[in-house]
Parts: sequence; C-alpha cells; structure tokens
Amino acid sequence: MTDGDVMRRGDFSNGWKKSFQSLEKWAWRTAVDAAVLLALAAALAAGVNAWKLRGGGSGGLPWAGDWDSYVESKALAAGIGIVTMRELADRVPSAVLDARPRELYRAGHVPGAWPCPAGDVDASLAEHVADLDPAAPVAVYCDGAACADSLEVALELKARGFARVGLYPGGWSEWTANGGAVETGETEAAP
Amino acid sequence: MRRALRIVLLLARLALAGVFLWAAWGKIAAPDAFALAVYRYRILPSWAVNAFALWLPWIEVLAALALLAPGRRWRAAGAALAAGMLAAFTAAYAAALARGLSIACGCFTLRADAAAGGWTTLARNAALFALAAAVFADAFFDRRRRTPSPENP
Repeated sequence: MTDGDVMRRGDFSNGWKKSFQSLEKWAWRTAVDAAVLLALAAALAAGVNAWKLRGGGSGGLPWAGDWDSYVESKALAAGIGIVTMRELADRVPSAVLDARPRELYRAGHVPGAWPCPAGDVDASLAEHVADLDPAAPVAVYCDGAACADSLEVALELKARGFARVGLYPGGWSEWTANGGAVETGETEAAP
Repeated sequence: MRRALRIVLLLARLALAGVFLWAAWGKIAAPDAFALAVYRYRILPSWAVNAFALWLPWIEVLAALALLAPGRRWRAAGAALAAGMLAAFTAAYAAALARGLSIACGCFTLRADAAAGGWTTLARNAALFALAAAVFADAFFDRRRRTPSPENP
C-alpha cells in the first residue's frame, strides 16, 4: 500500500531517498506525539486518582495493589478454579456450597446451594452431598473477596478427592449487588 | 471514489473515538472493577495491575480526542495509540483464550455477571484494529504529501 501511494502521489520526483528521510522524520514526530499523549494520560490518571483517594469521588485505587495475596491467586496456586457469577447463575457447577455460617445461609443463599460452613465440612458433605460424584464440578462461595472461608472449604474438598473444585470469589456480596436470585431457608431440590 | 474514501475514514475516526470514550468511561468510574478484569488476564505482575488499570482509560480518552483533531499531526498520534492499544488488547485476549482462561473481556462492561466473550470479542477487536490502522495510514502517509515540511504540520 505504501509503495502504491507513493507512486500515485508523484513523490517519485523527489527521489526515493528524500522521501524515505521525510517519512522517517514523520515517524519520529508521531512517536514523540504519542509519547506526549501517554505522559499526559499518566498525569491525568494520577491527578484524578489522587482526588478520588482524598475523598473527592468514589473509587480511588492504590497504585500498587497486592494481587498475590488476593484469594483468587491463592486458589489458583492450589489448583482451584475460578467460577464467575455468570457460570453460577447458569448452574454450570453440579453442586454449590455456601461456606458462610448457617444462620447467614438460612437468611439467604444462592438458589440450589447447600450449607457447608468452614470447620464443619465432613458433616455437611455427609448430610447434603454424600452421593456427589468427585469428578463433578463443585463451586464454593462465602461473603466476598475478603473472606477466606470458601478457600478453606475448597481446599478441604480438594483434599477429599474432588477433582474440579471452583471458587466464586465475588461471593454473596457480589451476587446480591448484581441482582442474583435469592433463596431462603433450606435448599429443597437436589443440586 | 476519493471522496467516498474520505467519508469512510471520517466515519471510522468518529466510530473509534466514540468506542474509546465509551470504553474509558466505565473504567474511570470503577477502577477497582477494571483492575480485577486486568488481573484475570494473568499477564501483568501483581504490582503493575492497579497502575495499568488507572492509566489505560486515560490513554483511551486522549487517543479518542486526538483522533477527532482536525490536524493530521495529532490524528496520526491518536490513531497510532488506538491501533497499538487494539493490537495489544487483541493479543492479550487471544493469549487468554489460548491458555484456556474463560474470562470477560473487560473492554466495555465491567459488570460482575458479564459473560466470557470468546471468539466474538477477538473478532470485534481485530475489526476495530483494522479501522485504526486505516486511519493511521491515512493520517501518516497523506500528511507527508500535503505538508512537505515536518516543521509546519
């Protein structure tokens, strides 16, 4: 395309060398301009974020986040998959376990989920999902990204031989904040 | 024919600018949600995720504004940034698909219940890249013809 353009536009008369030099100059100019825009974007980002962090608006973010200690990182490092809200709503996992305390579970949970509070995994499994195939996908959640109960239960399931354990890191808080359906009391239907 | 090309390129600039402004808006409003989307690509190191999530939407804003600039100089810079970003986005999403990650694009919607995009997302990004590349080629190469002196853009 370049060659064709140059020919059509009659730049040939200037000679190839001259036209290449001018092209090189333009390339540099464009690169510098793009770098100026990148720097300006960084300045804007820093300014707006500083303003938000100071309370001028919501949603300020620390510049260096510690994502390695995020529950998702720990889960993935342990061979536990990540389940999204969409997958949970579409009932992709065969069984969903609620790792929160039982009174929170009774007050409201993801439809079809079984209670499986951390620290009580054996009893819960025996009670609700004793005949669950260890090869079936299982999802666990708790309150949200800040709670560790779901990771604890997921690790215990993994240790009990469940091959496809998934964590829903958004948890109950993300589920309700995004209009997920709520079931109260005990789950009636088989998962 | 030439006139038709002008109109197509103008429409391409408007479309790209609109797409980038729209995409940037959600990311600036909810940087935490965007940072999570960036994290889930598993490309950037932990310490760089937030900085990237804060910086990127403003690059999108400035690239969009530069694309709308009447002068060819800033238009070329904006189109170069737009094409660069789209190439990077496409490569990042392709890499995620290749590694078997089922993640939401994080391009426009940052909703928690967003579905994973898959090949549609990849195709859309590639099409936008083609538009940006065409606008860049026009601004970059045509400029040379109309204003022979680089000092006088």
